[in-house]
Amino acid sequence: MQIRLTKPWRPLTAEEVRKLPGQLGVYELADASGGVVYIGFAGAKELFGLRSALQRHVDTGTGGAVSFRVEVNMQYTSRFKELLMSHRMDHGDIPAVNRTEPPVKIGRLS
Amino acid sequence: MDLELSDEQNLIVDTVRKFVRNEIVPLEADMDPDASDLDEENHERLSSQVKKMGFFGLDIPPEYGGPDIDIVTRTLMAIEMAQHRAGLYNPCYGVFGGAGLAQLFEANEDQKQRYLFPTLRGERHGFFGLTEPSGGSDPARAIQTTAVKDGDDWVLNGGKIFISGADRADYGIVFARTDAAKGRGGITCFIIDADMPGFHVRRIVHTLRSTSYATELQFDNLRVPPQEHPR
Repeated sequence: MQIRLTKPWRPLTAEEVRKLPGQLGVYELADASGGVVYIGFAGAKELFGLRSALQRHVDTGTGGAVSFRVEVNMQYTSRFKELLMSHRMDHGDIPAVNRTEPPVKIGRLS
Repeated sequence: MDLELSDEQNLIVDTVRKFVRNEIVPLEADMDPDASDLDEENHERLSSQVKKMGFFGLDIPPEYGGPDIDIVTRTLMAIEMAQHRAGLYNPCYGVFGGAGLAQLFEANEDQKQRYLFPTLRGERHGFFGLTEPSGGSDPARAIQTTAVKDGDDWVLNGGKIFISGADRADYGIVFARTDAAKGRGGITCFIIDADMPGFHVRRIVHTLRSTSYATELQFDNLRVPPQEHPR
């Protein structure tokens, strides 16, 4: 498994989200320029996994996101933190929408 | 032989049991089932409570300020501290404090001031770097990481794997081979600061318990000054 998410981007629409599995995993949201605006996970409390987690972002239009990519992953917590750390290593900080949420304890990669 | 608990032991067990039931278990209701951290506010609040109870740093030797609790009582407390969802792998989310890295108790006074005491106070965090891809339980044969003397410094090259907490640590204890001919006797322990050039946390090693993850480290011409050699 590569450190950075490499799955293909898909349009953040209700139609596309309906195709997702109800499984645990991580995901990224990107704006029209392709920049990652949010990194999230569908954890054990998510009733329909990635599908219901992404549907909420369709409903709320998180951070002007227009596309998403997902990775089915049982180790969603450590993978989520790894994606945040790798984003900070590449861009100097975690994504903009993540910065508005309660802080997540993460370390650093180098 | 009298195997009954003393009144003091019963009181301590009851105190810890109530603490877990009243303070830890309710918080878990709102946490992700795989979470291993309390939020900072609750961690601080509960650590303060534990300090007031006199139970902080249970495993710190009394001469270093630990509460001097005997091993039977300590074991009884451990049983109670594990009675919540994450208790088996992270009892009470660490609010009872830790004891630091054992090697630091053998360090010199200067190193104790800079690493051990801040760690016991919860101000600095260290990692323990022994295991390598070549093995973890037989360091005499497994360790491939080398430390070569260059002037007064030691220069480390190699890597470690399955190292917990290195991505969030301020410093670490690292074992490296300084003399290939001496086998077990040719391995030396170093203290490295996480901001030293040449120290890299390359990736998270994902394990079954997702939140208690480990890391993979790389030392790339990591130069360790002589004062960070443990003895």
